[in-house]
Amino acid sequence: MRAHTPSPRPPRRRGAVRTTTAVLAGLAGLVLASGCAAGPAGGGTDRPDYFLDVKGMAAPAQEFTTVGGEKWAFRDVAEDRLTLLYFGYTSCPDVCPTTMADVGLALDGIGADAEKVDVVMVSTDPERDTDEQLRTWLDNFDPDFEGVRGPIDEVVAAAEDYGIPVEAPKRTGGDYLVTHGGRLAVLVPGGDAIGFFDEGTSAEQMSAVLPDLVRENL
Amino acid sequence: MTAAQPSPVPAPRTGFSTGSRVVSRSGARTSPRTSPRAGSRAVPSRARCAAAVALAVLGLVGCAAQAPPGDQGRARPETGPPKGAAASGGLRIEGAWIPEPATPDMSTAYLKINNGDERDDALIAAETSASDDTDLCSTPKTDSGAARMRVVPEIPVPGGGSTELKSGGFHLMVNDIADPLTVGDRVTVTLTFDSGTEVAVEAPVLERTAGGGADDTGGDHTGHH
Repeated sequence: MRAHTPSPRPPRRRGAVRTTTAVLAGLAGLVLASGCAAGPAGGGTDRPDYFLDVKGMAAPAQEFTTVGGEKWAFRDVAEDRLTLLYFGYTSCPDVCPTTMADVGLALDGIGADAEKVDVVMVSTDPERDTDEQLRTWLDNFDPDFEGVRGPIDEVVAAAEDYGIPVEAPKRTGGDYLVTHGGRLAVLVPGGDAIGFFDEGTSAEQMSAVLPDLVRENL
Repeated sequence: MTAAQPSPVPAPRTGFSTGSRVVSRSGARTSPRTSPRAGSRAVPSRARCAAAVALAVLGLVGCAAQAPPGDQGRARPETGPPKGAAASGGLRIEGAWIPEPATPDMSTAYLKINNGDERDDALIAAETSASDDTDLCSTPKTDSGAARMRVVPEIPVPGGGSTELKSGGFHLMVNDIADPLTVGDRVTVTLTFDSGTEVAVEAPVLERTAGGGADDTGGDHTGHH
């Protein structure tokens, strides 16, 4: 099981187990707000406005499954790389694919540092996003991007721990309404979030920040 | 206008799909992407930060936090793939494009509507040559702050103003695409307005990024695998 044993990349999924503190979404918002208003909360360098530094938001405890059938946990993200984490779904025609495409371009733009960054999308539509559908969808952007599924209630709870609002899909009339998260979380080994890219951050903007994040956090 | 610029070298055929499977497109990163971003991104400022603060407190992130549409971000020369433009009556459409679908039968269309008339107007219907089903959409936030796309009955275009259809905001959702769209294809988008005006615009299929076929990285695109 790659999730718990060392193996050559990609992907490796080991990490120190840490004590998780419950962080309410509302508090998370305040943390983000203060980080933005009062300047960088970590890293010691000035950040552009589209990246919000936070002081490690603890990894949620939930354990999910990758599209390849391996166990996956926020706490067990790669121990030698950063992880860009997004909550989205494959039948999302607008923001989700745009975000993934921009992440792919951003990694293209940072040379060897891209080897130090994993990308994971946790499905907010696990009922309809089959493993195969997630895999083929992510392959559009990069075959190394990982897809993860779990029970939707746990996905919602985990996203809240990172201060990212998502909701369980709803059936209303003939519509099936699904949500996606706004920002993209940057996780360090152990799964704590140390910052967020705003929704709509361009590839170029991400490329400008990622190398610093790699140097400061690995 | 971008239409006056030389055509880009077409990207290699990518995203080829058979049935419901999408084959990974290894060539995608090697294509030239030299257009500027759309003008809505590069607006870092204290004001925007303050807005982000307010929105973060409310749990609202995303389209509302983006800068208003405008030309202030178009600092770089327009050298990218030409996007579609057309006009009818007082309405002028520009920057029309369609991202290559990630899910084979579904994509979006983005464009900017300029209303030169004094009276308010509204986009009330859209059709495309790529499918028989196109919706007007928005991506409002739910009470909890989650982003959820919804079909809307109309998209307002204020008199003397403009409305940009873009990722995270108002956009057109193109459903049930019959034949897979790939970079280089062109789709006719026909827009019907409340005033009765109809405008048809040719929208190229471009590689998907927030700016549309834009090259933000400036470097090579040989991938990072």
